[in-house]
Amino acid sequence: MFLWQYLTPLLLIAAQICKVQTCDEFTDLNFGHAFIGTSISIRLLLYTRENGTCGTLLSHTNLSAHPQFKLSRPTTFAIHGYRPTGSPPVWVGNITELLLYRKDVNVIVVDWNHGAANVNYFKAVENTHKAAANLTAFIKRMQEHGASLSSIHLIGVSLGAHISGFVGANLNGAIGRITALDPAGPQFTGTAPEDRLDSKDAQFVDVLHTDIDALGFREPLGHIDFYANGGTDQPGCPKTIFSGGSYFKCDHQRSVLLYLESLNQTCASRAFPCSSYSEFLDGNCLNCDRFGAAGCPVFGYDITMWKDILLKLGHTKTYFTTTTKSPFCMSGYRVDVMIWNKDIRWGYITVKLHYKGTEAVATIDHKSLKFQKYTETRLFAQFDKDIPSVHKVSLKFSNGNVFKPKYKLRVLRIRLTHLERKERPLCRYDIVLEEKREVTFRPIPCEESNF
Amino acid sequence: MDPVLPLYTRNGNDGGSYSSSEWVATGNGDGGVAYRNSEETERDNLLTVQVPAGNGEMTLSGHEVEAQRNLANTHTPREISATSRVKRELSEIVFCRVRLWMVIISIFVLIVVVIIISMVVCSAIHEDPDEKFDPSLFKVPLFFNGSFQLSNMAFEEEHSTLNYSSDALTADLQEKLADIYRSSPALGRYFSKAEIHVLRNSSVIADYHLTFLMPEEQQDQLRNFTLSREMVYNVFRQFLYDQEPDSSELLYIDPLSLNMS
Repeated sequence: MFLWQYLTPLLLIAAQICKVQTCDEFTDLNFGHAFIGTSISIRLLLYTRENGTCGTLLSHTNLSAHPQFKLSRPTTFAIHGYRPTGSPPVWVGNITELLLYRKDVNVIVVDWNHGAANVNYFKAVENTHKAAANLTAFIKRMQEHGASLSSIHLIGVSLGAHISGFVGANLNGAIGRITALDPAGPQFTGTAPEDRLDSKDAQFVDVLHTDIDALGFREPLGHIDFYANGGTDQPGCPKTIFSGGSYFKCDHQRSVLLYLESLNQTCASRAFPCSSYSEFLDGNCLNCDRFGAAGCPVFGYDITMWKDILLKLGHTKTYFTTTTKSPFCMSGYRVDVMIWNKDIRWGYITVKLHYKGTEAVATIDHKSLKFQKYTETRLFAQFDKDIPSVHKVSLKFSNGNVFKPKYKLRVLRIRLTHLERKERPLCRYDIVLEEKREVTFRPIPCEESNF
Repeated sequence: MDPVLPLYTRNGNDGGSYSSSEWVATGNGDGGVAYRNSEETERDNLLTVQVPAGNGEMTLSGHEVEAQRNLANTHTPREISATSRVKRELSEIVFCRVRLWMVIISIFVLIVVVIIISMVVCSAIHEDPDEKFDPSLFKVPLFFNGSFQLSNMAFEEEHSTLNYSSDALTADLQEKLADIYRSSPALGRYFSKAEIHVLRNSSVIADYHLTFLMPEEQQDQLRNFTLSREMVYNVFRQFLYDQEPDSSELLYIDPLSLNMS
């Protein structure tokens, strides 16, 4: 029995060591929990550059218990949304890693899975207010310990976006930044600003919309609102219910994937301020002069570069398009076409750019395009990849008519202008595009126009 | 249940009586011929029309009863009799051996054929309004001048024994220029001629002189767009860029040396 006298302290020490080494993980619940319903309980998991992959459960009250939680550093909170199945969000690991890679911050993952995991969505919506109150108290405590509110950044996904909004409102909009990734629409659409996220909730509010026709919020909410692919159906997402659960969440989830890619700096998606998506697709919103040398805002984490001008402009609604999978960004060209056909011609244009075996394709078919004699038709071509130097261009004209005679589009001049690079536009003069027949040519640098 | 059953039996009876009258109708070929010979055909028709109004009190010949039954049958929703009636009506002889169903099908086929033929004809005889023009109306001349350099020529002259006479060179270049513009979809119809003056000093420089003829109407539009300096110049320029850049051909023209006033 005397052996225990020695063993007990040994075991305690071992347990203590293990406790230091174990990481605190995001609460993993299952559908059973969600079915019964969970009551709100909030866990705050801290990640810093010192422990980038290993989370530390923060005490709500005793902040000094965690020496690695340095309040001199800015703090970024990541707040998830509704969890109907109770599983941890797939992006938690990625977002902490990428946020720490970009900036030396405290990343706090707000784990309110107890509360969000509930088959009853209305219950989860109710819990957002409680979660917000809890988080507000924690941030106030941080402030007491010397943290500055303007260095706090809240990233909220879906319901988490509205939690960020409530926290911001509780703190009178003194928070530095709120990023809302597809803020939830159901139960929030049409409510008063105090019942949802709005631009007064933080010094700067940037919002991404990817599913405004189902789970997301349709109207603009922030200082800048990005509508990816018009905010409705995301390319690459299933179009029918036969694809199972991803049919419901794919569009909504895309918002996080797009944001992660912006953190990753894989490529930049330029967003164009515009009154509507169709105006944007028509190429009527390609003018970025109001943003000066910086050009139109680039979607994502680095939007803060445009903060001052965006605050001055008030509310800016912007659009951009994406590809079906990562890398999501597209490369835009302005295409100007002038024809000499006597009659008006209608149709669609497919442009391909070739460079050493790689090919970028843009199909302009959102509506039938009108071509009129001696009038320049402006098109907005978005290519699935960026071609560093265009060797050849292929053009195809089609108008969807099956039985009508094959019309020809007699082009005087076609001009392709890259929207990002300040390089000389590419031209081709005097070509005839017969319907459904691809024409390939080597473009030449344009001359100054005097048409 | 009681009211339903008699209904069924009555239906069955009717069907039976109906089918027997059918027998009469088909088996009465002789009677049909006989009555066709008589003068009563018209009156028969009149009678059949009047029968529903007169409520069948008249004495009728066998086939008239049949006709009346038919009329009555159209108002009773009975499937078997309806389909067999449609079948019978469809196989009615219109003339010779042509039956009604054949006529109906051939009408449909005819409609489809007419549609297809008209579409084929339309697309075949479709005239592109842009390919129609009258060269005799092109009278107003328009001139373009400029020069270019034959970068391979100077080199060739020094090192090769090939003797390219000035006249031959001029003729070849004129032909080349004329070909460029004649094959142009937009400019070809207005092109008249190309003249070349070759100057030889250290390198070979050629001055060119292009003449286009335009119609009097829409002169300004043509001058500003199709026959603008930009178009005439760039059609030439893009032809030069399309040449193989490392071409050792004698008539290779350096695209950068091209200018047009």
